[in-house]
Amino acid sequence: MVWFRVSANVSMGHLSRVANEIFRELEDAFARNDLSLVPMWAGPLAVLVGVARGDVTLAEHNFSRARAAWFSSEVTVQDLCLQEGGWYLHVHAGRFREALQSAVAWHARLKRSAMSRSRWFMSEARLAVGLAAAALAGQTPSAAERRALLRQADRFARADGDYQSLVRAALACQRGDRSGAIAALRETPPPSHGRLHLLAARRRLGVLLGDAEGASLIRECDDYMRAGGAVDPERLAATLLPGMELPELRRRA
Amino acid sequence: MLGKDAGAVDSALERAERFASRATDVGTQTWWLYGRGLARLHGPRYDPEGAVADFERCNELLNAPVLPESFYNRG
Repeated sequence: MVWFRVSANVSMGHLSRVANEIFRELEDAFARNDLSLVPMWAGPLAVLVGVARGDVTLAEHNFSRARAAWFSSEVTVQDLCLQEGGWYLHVHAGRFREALQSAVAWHARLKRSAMSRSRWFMSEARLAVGLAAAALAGQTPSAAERRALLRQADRFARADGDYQSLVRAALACQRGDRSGAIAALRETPPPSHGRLHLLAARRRLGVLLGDAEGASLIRECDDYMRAGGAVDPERLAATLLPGMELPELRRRA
Repeated sequence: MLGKDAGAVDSALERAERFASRATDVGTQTWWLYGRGLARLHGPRYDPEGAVADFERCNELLNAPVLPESFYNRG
């Protein structure tokens, strides 16, 4: 129950509140050789705490230890945690190709498993593929690969899922369609994605708006994220929802 | 988590609560709190504060003297 309580706190953005507990529980799981818990503690919870603190060195180290300790041919929650944690680490480091490869492999495994009946799991997997494809489209120097990635993101934006508006927003950004991205981000995804993700989407919307309303959205999100322990809310939002920069803004940066 | 709408989830939770309230054993209460916590966290209503309260209460029951060593309770 401890893990679920901590997960709920992370979904709300209360990252500093649970940071020490996460690392304590992880070390305890290692000490007891409780390998079913190791990936759960070393996955997205620990990684997002590292991102919030602005230093993922410890999170990466623990994640590698957890990945080495876990092996199973079945699709499990532990696999999901490793997938999610790894995806965030890749995205945070700008390794969009690796993020996409891992998300595609996870989506394929999930689809073949009994867990594919869960709309929640499938929606998360489709979001991970769609966002990573869009982000990589903005990174690759190859025009042909970029076109292929945009097609891939487009397929996932049209797939059945709860967070398709977020993939559409990233796709629109990569096509330079600011108004399309704004319209997609104004569609509120179901709250089950978590308050932290919703705030990241609102922050992304604020940047794209670039006006007084946008500035107010950014301020509101930054205040909340900082109160939860994020030293760099912009980086945290970009890690949660990559691929939502317009090409012209990226060039300027 | 199967994509049911809020009404269907509410109705299932009400039914589960009725059944859980008839049982007095700790095992039933802990499973009920765990299930409702998950529904609150990942379900269509998204009530993370309510989920935290359920998980905390569940943990209290699991750690109560009546069930000292009878559950795996590290997750």
